Amino acid sequence: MWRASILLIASLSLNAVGQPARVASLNLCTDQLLVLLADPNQVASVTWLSQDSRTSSVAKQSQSFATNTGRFSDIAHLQPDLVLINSYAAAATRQALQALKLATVEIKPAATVAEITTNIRVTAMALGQTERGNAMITQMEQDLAAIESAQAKRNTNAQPSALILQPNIITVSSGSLPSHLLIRAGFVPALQKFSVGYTNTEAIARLRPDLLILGDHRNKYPSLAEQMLDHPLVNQAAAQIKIHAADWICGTPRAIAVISQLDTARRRLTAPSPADSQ
Amino acid sequence: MTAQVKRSSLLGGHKWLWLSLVSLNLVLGWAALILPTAPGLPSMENIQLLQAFSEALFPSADWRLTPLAALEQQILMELKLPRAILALSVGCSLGLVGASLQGLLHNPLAEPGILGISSAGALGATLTFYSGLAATLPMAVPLGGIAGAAIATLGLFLLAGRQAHTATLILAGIAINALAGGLTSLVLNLSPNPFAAMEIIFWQMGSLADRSMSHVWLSLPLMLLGWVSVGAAARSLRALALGEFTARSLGISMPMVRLQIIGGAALAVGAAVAVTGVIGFVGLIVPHVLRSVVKQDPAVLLPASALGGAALVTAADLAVRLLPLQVELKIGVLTALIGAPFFFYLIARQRNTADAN
Repeated sequence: MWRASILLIASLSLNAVGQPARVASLNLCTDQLLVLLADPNQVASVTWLSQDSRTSSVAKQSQSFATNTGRFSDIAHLQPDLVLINSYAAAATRQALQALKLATVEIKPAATVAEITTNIRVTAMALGQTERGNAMITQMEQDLAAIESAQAKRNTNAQPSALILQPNIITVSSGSLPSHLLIRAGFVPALQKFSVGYTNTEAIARLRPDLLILGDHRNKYPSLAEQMLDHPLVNQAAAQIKIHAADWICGTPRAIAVISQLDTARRRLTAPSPADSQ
Repeated sequence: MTAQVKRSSLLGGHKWLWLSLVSLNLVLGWAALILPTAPGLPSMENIQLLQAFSEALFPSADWRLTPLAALEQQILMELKLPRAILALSVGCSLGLVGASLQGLLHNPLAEPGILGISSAGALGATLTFYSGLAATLPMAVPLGGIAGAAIATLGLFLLAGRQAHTATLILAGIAINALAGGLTSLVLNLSPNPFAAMEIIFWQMGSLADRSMSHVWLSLPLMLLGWVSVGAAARSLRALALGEFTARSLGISMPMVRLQIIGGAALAVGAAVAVTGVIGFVGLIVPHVLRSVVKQDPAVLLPASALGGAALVTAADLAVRLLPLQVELKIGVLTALIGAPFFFYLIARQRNTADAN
């Protein structure tokens, strides 16, 4: 079950209560788990992205922490007791961590709710915050169960199609976390017709998804990439919702909130119209 | 240079040329409406195309045809039609301006891309677009493109002089290209929008993908003005082919010719680049291919190059649409791949002529 691989290269130097005292994270996704699970004084460094509310669900809590740009050279002087990295960390970063024999926990990006809970469990254990991690997982499981039991009561088999659309007319690939969350909420991802992430306006128009899912953030200064979403052919899906990108870029407990938001949209789409119920 | 000055009308002497160029554009324009915008998507049927246009022209009439799926009509009217119109009109602008600059400067290598007019237009357009000015005033983007192109063309004349040697002119073009390209990258890198920096390739290599009718309304009227201005210089160019002194003696006002061509080039290329990015080499290849066909007559070469440019850009755009790639190729990549070898050929020929002298 534990699909996140743990690389404890050297024995951790722990504080009096058995927790690593100075923990640095080199990736936006490990940042969020670190900020959510650690005591604030355990956090030595997070990436600058974790302070940006467009990409991070813990932007507020992260404001006071020292930041890095995801490179080992930024945190070397901090002499961290533990470094959290993503499994796609640069080879040079790994080599440097190995050479200095720094304790490292490697977290695989989560693509499912189960993988999120695994990552929480692994990170919590490494931080010496097992209880906090377990409480978080329990809360997630309760929230998800509540959504699913309400779904079961509604007793509808209708599976509307949904398309996630990002600037540049990019959709997310199947097998990703957003795609998994769509399926958990009872949608059929319209992107299953494509094998690629990049797609084309005519193809999008021909998919005719029941729901179009866009990001909620629009930059103040324009870009052609975002302007493409305004094309009359893109903007014609029957219903649209906006999901805060930071809620599903990384696997965090916010994923359950996304399922809930999608579930509400599905309920609206599949609700019998007043004419039918008469 | 022994240009033949004929008193014949522009259309009279080249019936077959006009017939073939016009029918080529009609066939390509039709294909651009029928064929899908990406491989693997369905083509439109001729009857659907007819019906869509009939319904668009006479919405109230009863056509007794199967009702066309609203989607097909939308894809035609909001995606393929603007794309076809822009391909034809941008190609027309580039071909026409290339031919007129070659005539004005007596320089076979003069072309909006090589001389830096296109990249300066792109700089003007990026400045107005990424600064957010276009959000309140959409017209600002083509106007910015025209301003950039105008400054570059005037700068070119100041840098290289009126009767510049080929090498001097190309050197001035390289300088303008480098400056405008560098500044465009700077603008995109300085933009607070994280997507902007990735859009350098659009402005440098050009694309007609996902344009809408609003882009047509923004650029086409300005391009039309440019065509009229350049076209008005056609007969003067014919006289100019005999040399500036002879042209003056024939009553041609050189400042007027320059104003018509520089102003027209700025309008047509600036407005084109503002909606499609830089599409290179069209203004170079087309006039060269057609020059011998029109027997070196500059007045005939202008409209012929306009039609030839329209056909080349439309054909190139159809090719990038249908190439089986996951991400659509930028159209400028294709015109560069066709154009660069042509450029080598021209350089070789120039060298041979120079050696022979």
